[in-house]
Amino acid sequence: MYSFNKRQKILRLISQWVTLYGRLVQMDPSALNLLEKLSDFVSKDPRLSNVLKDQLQDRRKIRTMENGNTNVTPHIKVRSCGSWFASIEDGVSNNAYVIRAQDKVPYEIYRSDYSCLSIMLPVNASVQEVMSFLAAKYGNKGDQILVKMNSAGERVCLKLDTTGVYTSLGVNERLFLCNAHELNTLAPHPDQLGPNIGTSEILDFISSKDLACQLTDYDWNLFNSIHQVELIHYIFGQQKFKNSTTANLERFIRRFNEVQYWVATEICLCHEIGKRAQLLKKFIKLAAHLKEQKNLNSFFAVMFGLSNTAVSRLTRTWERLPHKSRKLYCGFERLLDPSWNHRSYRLAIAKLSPPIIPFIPLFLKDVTFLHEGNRTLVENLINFEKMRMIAKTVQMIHCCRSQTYVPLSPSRIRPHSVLDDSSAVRISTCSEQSLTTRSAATTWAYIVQMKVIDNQKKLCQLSRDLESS
Amino acid sequence: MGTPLTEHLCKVLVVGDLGVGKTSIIQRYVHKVYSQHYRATIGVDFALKVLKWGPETVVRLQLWDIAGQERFGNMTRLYYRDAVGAFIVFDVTRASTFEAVPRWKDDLDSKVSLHSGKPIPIILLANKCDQLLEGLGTDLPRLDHFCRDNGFSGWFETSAKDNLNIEEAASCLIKNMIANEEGTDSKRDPNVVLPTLKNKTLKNSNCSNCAKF
Repeated sequence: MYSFNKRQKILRLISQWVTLYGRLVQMDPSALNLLEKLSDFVSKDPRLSNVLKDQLQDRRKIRTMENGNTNVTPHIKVRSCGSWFASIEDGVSNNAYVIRAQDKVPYEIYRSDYSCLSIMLPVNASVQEVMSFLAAKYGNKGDQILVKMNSAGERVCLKLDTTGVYTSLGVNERLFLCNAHELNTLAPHPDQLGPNIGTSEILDFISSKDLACQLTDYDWNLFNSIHQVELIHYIFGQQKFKNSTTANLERFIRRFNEVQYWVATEICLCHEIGKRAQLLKKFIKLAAHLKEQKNLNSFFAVMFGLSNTAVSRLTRTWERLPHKSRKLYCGFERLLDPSWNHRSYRLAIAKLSPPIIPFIPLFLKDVTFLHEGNRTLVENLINFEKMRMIAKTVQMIHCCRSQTYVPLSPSRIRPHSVLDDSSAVRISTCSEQSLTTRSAATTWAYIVQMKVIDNQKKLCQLSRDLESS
Repeated sequence: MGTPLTEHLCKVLVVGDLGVGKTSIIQRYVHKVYSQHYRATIGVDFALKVLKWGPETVVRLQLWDIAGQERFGNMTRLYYRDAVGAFIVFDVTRASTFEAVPRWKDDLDSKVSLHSGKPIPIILLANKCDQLLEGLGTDLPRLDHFCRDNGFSGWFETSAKDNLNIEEAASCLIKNMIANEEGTDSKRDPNVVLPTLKNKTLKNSNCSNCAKF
């Protein structure tokens, strides 16, 4: 009886592990091997077989209930290790936005003459592998190097053993392939500098609520694609986990910055003061809707954009704001206050129920400090207290997503795969659909492909041109 | 009863690229009374170092670490408010972290200044000098020039590992911060009577530039 209890516990533990790591376990041959062996062992013991069957059945039932699906759950056979994954096929693993460690993604690599090489390479390819591929395809021309450059023209030569360089690029950063002697003359691609004309005219036709709904829909796609463990890999150093990727988390980080620069860019490119005040008001309303939708990540991003020096210094524009908007903004600013380790934000989020998109930078801060501030090994023993604290933080992400998010915008405009974003939108705009769907599709295209200026100096210059003092 | 102590409360920022050793420097300096106890909850999240600075002066140094948030453009603004001094840290074994130094300097200068309008004093820390084999080694003497040209109050080669120069760097920054504070008082011409709203404006005897908590 004792050993049966133990075995039951082990089965429960493994089953939880599979639920949590799902798709990552599926990619790992040694884990699959273990599950296979375990399945064999279990199938020889009818009592254990029943335990496992019940567990899987329960898990499935809970999930279908959560999803509001009333279909009868199919009978599960415990034989092959496929059954371990029977209940995780829906949800995360079906999200077309997920980037998996073994996926290939389109890399865009520019030459010094701005011609672009577009190639499919593994998301985790090392710089060495990228270079070899390019040499094989386009021929090797001397001592070439791979360089990462941002919109301000700051260049970083990438080391050959660095991996995942494409998915970790910042907002307007690009990869360049050039000869070593060309490095100093390399200048940013014109697209990197961002737009010269604002889109306030497009924004005039989209209500701040519609904008918020679609931003939130898109954010959910990106947020759901992140596996909790990416947070840990990201902080501990991705290079230590060869068969994993942090691309989904990095994409979400990039999106945060994109949204904050988008707000600042639009304000700084709006020349007429009356219109600019209107736009400012609209962004404050947008922040209000995002907060209401419990999309705190984008809420903070919009607020960061509004509090960017280039925007906050435009006193004449701010003076034109209605009292109500200014009051709203001041209230939101209090949520940004970092004192007592973001007390006001932590109190606010504790009152919310899932689904929530949390403020990701704070998660990264927490995990960074927990990691850097506590030793992993103490006298050669694992510091479990540290691990528990990190686990608790990471579990918050799980908790935020524990209720299924119901999209706010019409589903047919959303693309089925990351790779055909633009084509999907094009199809839906051409077909005979109601005006609302069509405008929703236009909004979707707009929010997915934001064009922004991410160079703070340039934003400040634009801002000074608008209001000199 | 002894003479009343003057207390300076100074908020100091520790910035620099990812992985340059900001947290280690702070930990070394405050003797690990800080992040060892970090909780992802409401509470104090800066490191506090209390120093006796002369016979009647106590300096309470709040060290604010931005670790983990380097990649979020405007995030730093939140932490910069009311700061009166800063360290910019780079890793001598990684050139890119040095190239980022002017960017951090710009970031600080554009987002924070003293009440007098002057920029806050900033010290440059060339960290991990214990690991220095080649890297920037030969360039280090040039940092004098670099600091003068870029408006740094000074620079130090530091090693959190070997506990090298961290105390010295902190002392240098404190000197600058206190000088700034006294400067704002002494520069006032005694022959000029400043108009005030009431009979007398309340003047805090503490560091006027420092954050009040």
